[in-house]
Amino acid sequence: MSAPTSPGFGATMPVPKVEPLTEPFWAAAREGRLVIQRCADCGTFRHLPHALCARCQSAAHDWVESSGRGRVFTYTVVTHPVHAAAVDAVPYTVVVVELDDCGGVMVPGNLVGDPAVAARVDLPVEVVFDPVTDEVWVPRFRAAG
Amino acid sequence: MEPWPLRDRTSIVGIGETQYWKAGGADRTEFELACEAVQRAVADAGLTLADVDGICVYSGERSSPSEVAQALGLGALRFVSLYPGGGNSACAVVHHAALAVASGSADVVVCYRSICQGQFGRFGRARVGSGTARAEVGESVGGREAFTMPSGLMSAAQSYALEARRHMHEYGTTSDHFGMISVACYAHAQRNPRAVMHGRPLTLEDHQRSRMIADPYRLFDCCQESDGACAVVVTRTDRARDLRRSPVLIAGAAEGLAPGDGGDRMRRPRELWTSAGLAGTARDLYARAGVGPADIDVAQLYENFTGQVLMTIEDFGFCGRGEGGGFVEGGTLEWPHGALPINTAGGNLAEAYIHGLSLVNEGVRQMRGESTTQVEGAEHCLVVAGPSAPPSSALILRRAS
Repeated sequence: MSAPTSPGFGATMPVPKVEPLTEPFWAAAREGRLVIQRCADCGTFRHLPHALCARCQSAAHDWVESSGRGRVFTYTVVTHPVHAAAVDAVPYTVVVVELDDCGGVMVPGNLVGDPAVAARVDLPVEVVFDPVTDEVWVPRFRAAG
Repeated sequence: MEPWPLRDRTSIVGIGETQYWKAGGADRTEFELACEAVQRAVADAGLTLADVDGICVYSGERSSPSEVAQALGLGALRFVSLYPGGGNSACAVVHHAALAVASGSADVVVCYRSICQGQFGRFGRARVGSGTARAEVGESVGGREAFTMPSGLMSAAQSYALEARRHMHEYGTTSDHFGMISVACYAHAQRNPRAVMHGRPLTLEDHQRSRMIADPYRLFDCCQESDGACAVVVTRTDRARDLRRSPVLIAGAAEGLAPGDGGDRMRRPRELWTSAGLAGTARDLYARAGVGPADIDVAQLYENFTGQVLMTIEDFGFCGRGEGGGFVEGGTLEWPHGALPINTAGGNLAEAYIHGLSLVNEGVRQMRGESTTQVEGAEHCLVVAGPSAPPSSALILRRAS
C-alpha cells in the first residue's frame, strides 16, 4: 500500500530539480512548509515561481508561508498512465488548488489520503508533504478535516 | 477603423498532402513525407518548385527549411519563419506567409508540417518540451515541470481535462456534449477515404463506452496520433489569378495571446480556465475579414480535445460563454443539416493529426467546392488552430467571386 502522502508512484517518477530560483521553495518543503513567492515591491503573489513580477517587473521577492489550505479549483482522475512510474498508481487524482491565502494562487498537486474521499470542485483541502527523496519533499493535498 | 490592408489580397493557391496513417504506419521517413507534401502543393498550384522563395514552418519542424529547399531544388529562399509551440501555429504560418507575400518580401511561400510519430515517438507519452522538440523525461525535471510532472501531470490530455472539468462545473456541460463533437468528426470522416478512421463510424454510445483516459476525457475525446504531412502555397491574389486553380482568398488571419496567459498555465487569469483563450483573436479576425459568426458557413476547429473545441465555439461567438454544451446538441455540428458543420474531413479526431495544417487544407477544399463533405454554397470557412495553447491563430478563408 502506498503511504497516505503518496499516490503510489514508482521509483522512476521524475524528482523536482532544485534550481536557484526555486531553492527556497524546496528548502521550506523539506521542513513541511508551503511557501509562495511574493513580490517585495508591490506585494503581488505568484506561483509557479518566476524571476520577475508580471505586475511591476521587479525581481525582488520574498517567500511567504501559506496555511496550505484551499479548495479544489479543478481536478482530473488519471486512468491512462503515460509514464512507467504511473502504471501501478492509476487511478490517481491531479488537483489544482486555489489557496485560501497568498492571493489565491493556483497550486497543482495530487489528492492523497483517504481513498474514500473523491475529488470534487470546491473540496476543502490541506497540504501534506511526500518525502520522495531526502532532499525533496513534494507537496500534495488531502481533504481538510 | 481602417480595414485590414491584407483583406483578400493574398490567397492559398495550392494544397498537398501525403497519405495519412495511424502513428507508426508510414512506410517512409518524416522528411520524405514533408518533401512529398510540398511537391504536391506546388504542383496543385501550377507552379514550379523553383518558384518557391519562402517557407513558414512551426513547432520545431524536424524537416528543416534548408534541408527541404536543397532536396527539392527550390528557388532562392528570401523569407523563412519558424513559429513557436505546436498545433497553435497551424494558421499562424499562413498569416506569416500572407504578410511576407503582401509586403513583397517573398513571392511564393510554402507552409508545411510533417509528423512521423512512429519514427520519432508519440505525443501522448510523458515528454518534456513542446511539439516535435520534445525529449524524454529524465530522472529529475526543472523549471515549470518540477511543479507538475512529479504529481503525474505529464500529458496534454491530463492538462486539458482540468479545463474541461472546470467548464462542466461552471456551466453544466456534460461528457455527452463532448461526445457530440467526436460523433460529428467521425461522421464526416466516413465520407473521406483519406481519413484514418474511414470505415470506423462512431456513435455517442461508443463514445460513452470508450475507456477513460483522464476524467472527464475518454479515448474518443482525444485527437489521434498520426503519421503524414501536408502543405499549402500562398501568394498574392493578383498573381494567383493567372494560376491553375481558382484562388482561395485569405479574408482574415489573426494570432493571439490574452494578457496574463502564457506558458505557465497555473498563472493564467481565472476566466481563461474555461476558455480557449481565443476571444481576442476572434474579434481581430472577424474585423479583419469584415464578417461575423453568422457569415461562417463551415468551420475547421482544431481538436486537441473535444472540450477545447466547445470553448473555441464560445470564443468565436457562435453562442454565449458557457452555452457551448447546449449549442452542440441536436446535430448542430453535423453535415448536411447542422447550422455549423465542423471538421468536414474528419479533423484531428478522425481524419489525421498533422498538427492542424490538414484543417487548413480542408478549408481550402470547402472554398473550392471539392470537399467530400461539401457544404453547398459555402462562401466563408473559419479555421482555428490549437485552442488553449497560446499564442494561437485562426483564418477566415473566402471563396473567390
